[in-house]
Amino acid sequence: MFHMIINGFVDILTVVNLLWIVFGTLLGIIIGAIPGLTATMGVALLLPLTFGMDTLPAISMLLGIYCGGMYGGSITAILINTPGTPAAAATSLDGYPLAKKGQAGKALKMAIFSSTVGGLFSALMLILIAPQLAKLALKFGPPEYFALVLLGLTVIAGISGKSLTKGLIAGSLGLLMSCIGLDPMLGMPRLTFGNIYLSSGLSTVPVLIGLFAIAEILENSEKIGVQGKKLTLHKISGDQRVSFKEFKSHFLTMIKGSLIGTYIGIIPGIGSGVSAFVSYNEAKRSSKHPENFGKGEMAGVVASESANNGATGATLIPLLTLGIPGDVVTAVLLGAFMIQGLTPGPLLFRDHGSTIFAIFAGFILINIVMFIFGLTGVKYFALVNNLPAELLYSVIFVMCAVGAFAVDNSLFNVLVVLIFGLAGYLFRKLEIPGGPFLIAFLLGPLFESNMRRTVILYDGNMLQIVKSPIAMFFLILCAISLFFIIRNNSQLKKIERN
Amino acid sequence: MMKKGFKDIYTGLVLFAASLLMFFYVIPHHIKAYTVYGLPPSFFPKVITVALGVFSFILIISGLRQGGKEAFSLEAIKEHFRSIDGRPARNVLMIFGIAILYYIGLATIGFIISTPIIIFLLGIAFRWKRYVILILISGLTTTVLYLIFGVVLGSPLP
Amino acid sequence: MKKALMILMVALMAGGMALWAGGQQEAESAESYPSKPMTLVVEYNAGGSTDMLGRAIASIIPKYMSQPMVVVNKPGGSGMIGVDYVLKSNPDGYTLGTTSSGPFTTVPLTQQSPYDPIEDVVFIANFTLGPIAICVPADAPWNDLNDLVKDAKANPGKLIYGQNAPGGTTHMAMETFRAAAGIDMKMIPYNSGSEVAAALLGGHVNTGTLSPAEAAEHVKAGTLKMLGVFNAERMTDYPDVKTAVEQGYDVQIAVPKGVFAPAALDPAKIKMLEEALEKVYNDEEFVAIAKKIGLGPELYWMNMEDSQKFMSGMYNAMKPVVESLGLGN
Repeated sequence: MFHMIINGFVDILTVVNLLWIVFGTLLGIIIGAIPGLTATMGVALLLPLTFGMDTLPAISMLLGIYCGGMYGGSITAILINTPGTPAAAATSLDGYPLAKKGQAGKALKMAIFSSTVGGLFSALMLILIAPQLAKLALKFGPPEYFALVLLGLTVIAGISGKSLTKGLIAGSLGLLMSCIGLDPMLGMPRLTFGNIYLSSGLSTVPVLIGLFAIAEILENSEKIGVQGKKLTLHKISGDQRVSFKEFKSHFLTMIKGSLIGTYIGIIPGIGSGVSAFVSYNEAKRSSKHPENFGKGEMAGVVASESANNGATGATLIPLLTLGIPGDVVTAVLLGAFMIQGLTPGPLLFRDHGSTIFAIFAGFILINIVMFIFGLTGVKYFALVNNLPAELLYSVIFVMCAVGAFAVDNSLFNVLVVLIFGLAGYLFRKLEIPGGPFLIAFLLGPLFESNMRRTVILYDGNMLQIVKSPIAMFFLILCAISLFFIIRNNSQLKKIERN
Repeated sequence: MMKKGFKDIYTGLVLFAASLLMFFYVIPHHIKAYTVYGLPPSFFPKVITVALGVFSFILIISGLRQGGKEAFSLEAIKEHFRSIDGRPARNVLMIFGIAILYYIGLATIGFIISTPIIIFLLGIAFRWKRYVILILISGLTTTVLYLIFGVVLGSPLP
Repeated sequence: MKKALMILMVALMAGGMALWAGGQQEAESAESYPSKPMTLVVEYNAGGSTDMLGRAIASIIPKYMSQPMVVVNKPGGSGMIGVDYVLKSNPDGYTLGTTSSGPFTTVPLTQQSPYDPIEDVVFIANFTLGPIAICVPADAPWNDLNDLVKDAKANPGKLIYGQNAPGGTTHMAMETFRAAAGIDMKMIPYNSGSEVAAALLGGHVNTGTLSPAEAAEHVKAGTLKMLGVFNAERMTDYPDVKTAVEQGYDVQIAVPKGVFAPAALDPAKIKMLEEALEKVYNDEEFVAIAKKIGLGPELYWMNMEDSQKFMSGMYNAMKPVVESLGLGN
């Protein structure tokens, strides 16, 4: 095992490979940072470029885009509250309030620390116990998925903010929106009103961009020409250094986030966005100051960033060992591996062991390169907030629209962005939180299809779920999670009253 | 002064009405009844709609509890609209209008022409006064976006 | 000043739009065709098998048509959005699409489709025909379809089959088989072939229909086995797997992939495209790419006439199955 990794490093450490890794990672960070562009799109669209490339540079470049993109999303999420991916939406919950306090530099640094810890942790899992973890992933049948997704949905209550009712309303609306499109079980159109653009459902990215980025721009436009209010971005002020003590105080959250990210990442189909929210929720639950979450609590940034990068290596586990892609990104990566003659599946490690370990070594290098760029980049990223807001918002709006178009090369998505932009603005005015809407929207199809699969499997008797220990484990976690949320809520109310 | 529960009551009412409309009209008419394989396609949307109805009802009640009982008086509604400052609302509508114009522009005259115009319009709408810089930024952004999306990523921009 | 500028810009845009509405379309004869790059619309996401085949064709065709071909992904609507885009485009031979099974057979039957999948389309050439195989975990007690049918008849409604994309082609193949064998099984639907493979490996379902490409690695590793294939002939790389017909069940369904254009395209241009595509199909470089992307065993040439017949035959065969399941629109 150990000598295979050493050999892997020897194979990957050539100038050409390193250049491609640097190129991929940097491109990934840029793509992730631009609102509207996602790692998924970057990987899919650069795939044809790898047709004529050698295996190691091709795969490491794509993995670089994947990991870099996962981290890059946090930059704009923290600085200007325009998350471009679901994972970054979790980061912005506390990242942006930190920026408002002038601590964007610190938040960015913690984000890169956490992303790297998450990425390296999942890389270790990938190298050390991938086959064992893959077996765990296979144990997930419909009831187990159902229980896990239910746990994901309890996050709604955790991130509802001031009013639990409004959070639940946002969640219901998110679930309702996720029903639009083909019925996930039978492929029949549902609530599409005969429109073929609706029949594939609303794409996540346009909904997300509208709800967060466009709504942010619209809300800021309120200030135009109003006396005493100026359209400005939050400049960094004060000491932005992260002391070792601070790092240490968040280390446990990082490891917990990495674990959650890895665990959720190996289950095909759940995704890094959900892992970020679950991890955020857990950090809030176990925190001594849950009331600070959403108002600029560093642990929130740490939890979501470590989890979403923790999922990167983990999603590769079912992909490489079973040939099962968990999401669109890994489906594209599956194609990339096949083009290189490396068919993912149970025989991959046996037949191409040395290449795979070189790729793993590359994966570790990618995280290191990402760390270097992320840390040195902080002061340059932060310059964004010195730009005039008038110009920045104009440019971001156009980027969002074009990015949404590029998801499916469809103008319909631009329309979705606009509609959800307006909806997101109204949400803000009515104090309905966007986070619960998003998580419900992401989990809706998974929840519904696995509930219906379970019903078929158990012939309608859902109580049979007690037969599954994994499902029961998650159901118990759901109960614990809800208990804490309700307790925290009533404590908060008491504090408010006094 | 506007009562705290005012917004909640009306949000709740609108959503409650929406859930009724969904449950009794939209779902029965736009989701096919089908029962061969397990639960029908309309089951899940119906459950959510009921949940939405319940939650919006709770919102109305809590709004009333927060002293929004007068919300239904004509005087309170008038008072509410008087209290809204028209300026921010107009701003938002203006920016949103430009956004819609961009959609129309993309659909008709294409990316290369409409993008710089829209950035320019937004800049003016945001009251940016230095026009030369604005024009430069419009051109630069369009070029950079064209390079990223059109050339590197190979997306067929309209 | 500000207002004036704004009005000016709005006027500029309006003017642009008016100009756009004015100058559209011009015809071109077959002799000079193609005089500019062609577009190949793929109705699925980048990275999928249809996309990769499309890109392989596009990368070779300049050898034979003197103009490059650009691949554009227009995914969504179960493939209908991309297909509709091609069919609504100017039928000048510069916008072509990739044929796949769904948007021309089952999807128009189960959903409202904005086009007629046979009348509005000309299928210029077919490149691959993908078999559909019934797979079970390797430790399952059955070795062929008859074993499975016997067991299913002894336990009606007990065995579970995992189904990728219900309402789609593989589902229709499975339903046709079920009807032919007269067995009752429970269906658990999934969203992709790989999800079905995972469910089989985890023992959550008893059988599942997979493409050999999806099953290959697991069959090689000895975790899955194939009981039969819904093909006309046995597969070249799995000569031991009997076809369903051989085992006494009349099911013959396979998934085609190729190139199509709007039906109104000039027949002379169709001919040119057909000839060029045949040269692509026989091009060594193309075959090498196809093998790399796992489509090697599925390569199956059909010219325009055969493709047309094949596609309308498939559409007509699917119709009664979809209707009998009550999935029709």
